[in-house]
Amino acid sequence: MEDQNKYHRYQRQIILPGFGMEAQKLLEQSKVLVIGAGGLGCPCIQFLVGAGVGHIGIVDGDDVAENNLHRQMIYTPEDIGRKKTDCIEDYILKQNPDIHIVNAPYFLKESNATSLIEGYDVVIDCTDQIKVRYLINDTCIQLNKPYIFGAIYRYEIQIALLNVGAAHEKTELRDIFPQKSNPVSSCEESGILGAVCGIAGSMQALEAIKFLAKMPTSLNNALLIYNTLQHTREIIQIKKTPMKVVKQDPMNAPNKSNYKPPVELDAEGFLAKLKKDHVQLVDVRNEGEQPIIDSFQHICIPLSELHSRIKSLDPEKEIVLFCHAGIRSLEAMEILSDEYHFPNVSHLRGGLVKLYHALQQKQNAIK
Amino acid sequence: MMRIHLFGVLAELAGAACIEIRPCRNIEGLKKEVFQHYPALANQDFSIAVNNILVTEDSMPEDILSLAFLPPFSGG
Repeated sequence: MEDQNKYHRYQRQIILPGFGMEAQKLLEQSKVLVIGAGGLGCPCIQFLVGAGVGHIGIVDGDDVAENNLHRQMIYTPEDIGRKKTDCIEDYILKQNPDIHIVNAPYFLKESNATSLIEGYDVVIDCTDQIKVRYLINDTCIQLNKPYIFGAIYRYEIQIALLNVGAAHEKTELRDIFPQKSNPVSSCEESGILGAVCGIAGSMQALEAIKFLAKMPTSLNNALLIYNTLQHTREIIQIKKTPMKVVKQDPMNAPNKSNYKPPVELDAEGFLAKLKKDHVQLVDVRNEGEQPIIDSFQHICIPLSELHSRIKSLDPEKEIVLFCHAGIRSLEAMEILSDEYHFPNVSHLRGGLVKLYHALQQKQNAIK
Repeated sequence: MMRIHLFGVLAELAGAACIEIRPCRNIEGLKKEVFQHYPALANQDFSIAVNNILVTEDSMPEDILSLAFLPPFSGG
């Protein structure tokens, strides 16, 4: 009787052919880690919670911002400025209080990736930076965890269920995209419709549920590419590659003794750099992006051309990078620091948007 | 002619989701032919699928039913 009451809320899925009470109990015993609580993470978590996955971990260091609200439907205007993971914890407690939640209000990094991932049955990658995606992939390989990749470019979605099956069948992100020499744009740069995130995040949740409930899927070690404009799709089989690009650990770089960690600058720090001599200021936005900067000297090298124009930068000088929102400059900083071992690199955190906001606040304070 | 499906930024740079080029015997020749007609693709990272299977070596099956160039996506 107690069991019947407990499972009443799941009755509509329990009656499904191929699902049943056995699958429901498997979900209840499962532990799923969702990394990223944004456009993919919100719908993904909503359907995991609804389906009754017993233990959900959420990793994200971000606060809710106004421009998240059109696609991250868990958050309301009252949540702006709050930690995303705190808002999600509140949501889960209201929606399905039986679920055990682990709230990790910080970003996944090399230093914490293993400890965050090791306790889970499945890891769902809902992040938006390719470098973090490779870190999740590498950690899942190391810990032998199934890895659900999901990513969006404008109206197109990529989903893959990786590192599953027998040892000789297991594939990983590096089998699909073996190296990253060019930057890959985020939704912040390329734009995104909320409904597209909803489809992609729901697909990731569905793959997790099918995997945990031992249901069949055609995405085992395969990549789905779904076009939401045309509603066309391809499923590409992934082959294990014998040779892989090994990630570069900057601490093992040849010039280890000279290595200095790259620095993120706030508006004040950036303005201080403008007053210094011998600093190379680099705008990594694309040609023609507004606003055009003419108030200080700088050079323009779009992020996509950084590799081909690397010789136009002097590694002996301090390099300060900036862009619109701080995402491309962060990636450029990591490329210069990690791949080219430039010893003195920094970037403007939050980009020109944050800089102008800070200047505006300063002006208002003077008034 | 060989038909290639392009995805993501590749379709935007080429101005089409599907392009046609002269038949090629291997991946190297395929890329050379594509880059000659669509030079903007030469600087991009992408993987190649032949008959819906990712190819990793410089070989192509004789019977090509479909060809696709897949760039990495990262938005989320």
